[in-house]
Amino acid sequence: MKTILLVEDDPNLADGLVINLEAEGFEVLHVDHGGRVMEEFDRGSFDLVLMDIMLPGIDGLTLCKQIRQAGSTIPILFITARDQVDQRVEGLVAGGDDYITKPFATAELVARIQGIFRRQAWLATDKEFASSYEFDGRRIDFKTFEAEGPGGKFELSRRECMVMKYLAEREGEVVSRDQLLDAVWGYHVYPTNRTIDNFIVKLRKIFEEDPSTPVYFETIRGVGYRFKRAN
Amino acid sequence: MKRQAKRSKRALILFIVLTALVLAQAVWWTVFMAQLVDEKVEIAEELDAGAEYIEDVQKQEYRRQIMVGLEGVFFLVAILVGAWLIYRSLVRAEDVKFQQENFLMSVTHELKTPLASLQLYLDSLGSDKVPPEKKAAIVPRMKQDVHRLEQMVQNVLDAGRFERSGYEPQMARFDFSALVGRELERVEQSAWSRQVKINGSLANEIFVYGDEVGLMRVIDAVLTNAIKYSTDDPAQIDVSLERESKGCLWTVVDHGVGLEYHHQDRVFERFFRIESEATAGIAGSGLGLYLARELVLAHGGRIWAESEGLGQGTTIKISLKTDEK
Repeated sequence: MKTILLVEDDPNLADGLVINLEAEGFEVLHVDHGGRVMEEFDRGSFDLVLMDIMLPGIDGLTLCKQIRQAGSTIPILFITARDQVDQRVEGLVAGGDDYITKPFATAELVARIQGIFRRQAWLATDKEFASSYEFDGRRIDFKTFEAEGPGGKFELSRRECMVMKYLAEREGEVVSRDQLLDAVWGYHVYPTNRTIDNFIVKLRKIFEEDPSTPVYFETIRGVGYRFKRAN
Repeated sequence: MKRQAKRSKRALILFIVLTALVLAQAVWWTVFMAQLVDEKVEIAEELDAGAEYIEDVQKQEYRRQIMVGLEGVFFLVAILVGAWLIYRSLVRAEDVKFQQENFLMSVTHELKTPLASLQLYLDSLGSDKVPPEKKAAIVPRMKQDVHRLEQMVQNVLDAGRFERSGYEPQMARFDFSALVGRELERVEQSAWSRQVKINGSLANEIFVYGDEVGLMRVIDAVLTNAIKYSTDDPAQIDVSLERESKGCLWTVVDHGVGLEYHHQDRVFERFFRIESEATAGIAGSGLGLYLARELVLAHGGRIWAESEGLGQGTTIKISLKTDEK
């Protein structure tokens, strides 16, 4: 049974979430104050954090950053009343994996949670790319999110790892930006699929000798990218 | 907040540039006028004019310079005052704009949260997976959400109406102390994210001639605020109601985030909300205390806030005339 840490200060909303999530087979631990989250987080073992952004004590965005700084890669799903694009992006930049905008139906919430678990399972899938992947003296660890390239060692985010893995699994194939968004985000979070380009820039910085003349991450104009080894 | 600071900074830069330009022009004119006197004297000397004539030219030019200089100073001050007024109104406009944006965001949150919980409760009622004993507890909570929504919508509508035409209370004589007692009980039993303990010390049988529903909203707004901004857990709220000469004084003390001195009046302004680390994450529309003030004023009463400063808690006091027979 998956365990969810629910961080929500509104008693009725929290109650409704607990009832429905438990009915859907999740175990839920509820915290109603931002100041108590890290304590509960350190004490328990959770599979996902479902968290409101507006919280008394410490807000959800700050808590998300604290969880990431503590080295945890636990999926974080934000509940937010704010549906403007820049505000949603703010949550994802802080280290959130997904968001859901109030009001929402239980079915939508459960689909989002399952989507996160599905993508997480894909990242940890026990196949060729289960734990790590090496090419031309470069290395990426999909469990610790560590990468090693000509410039040294780097820490990647879950999404950067997922982009890398998706491309590596399709070595030599042209992958569109839409494909990457569907696989890594599950749907279009950002206003433009050019967001993917930023992730490719980061991967090039780590793995390419000269990021301005990429060898491994080739841009296919108007379509997307192709990953290929040099040798 | 950042956007507001950016806009205010832009207004300040505009003001500084304008002031610098005006001052530069004033300096340039002064230098130009001084040079003009010298030039006229030089020309007169070149034309072999008599010393008396040159002295006259000098005097005439100095008189003219004083006149022009005085006019210049007057216009300079007028321009600078004008620029300052423009700067101040730009900053104020930004402030209002920011508060309105803030209000929209807050109202969105305040409306969407009960809607979200209603949606989830409806899902629960329609689900076979939720046990019947849990379903039974849902309906009273849904009523609370509907009440919250109703109150929020009412507040927004009233804020607009009060601003346009003021508030017209439905006056009648009633027991204010009994109303306070009932409201304390109701608010304490409402659903809060933390435990709430209200310590009441209420004098009995204090009658006022006023609008019972309006004053109920005042009590609700003040208590809700006190609970929301409390930092202790359980939130301890001390409430007292005492007789005064020709009136009564209702006092609500919380042990929460407190107020800086310059915010103690501003918390009663429409849409005003304090943006600080301590208040981040506390939902609110910035209408509760504004409406409370309007309602109290319509009763000929007075409402004010006191605080020793940040982190020292806040005291809200309301004085009302009584109608003792």
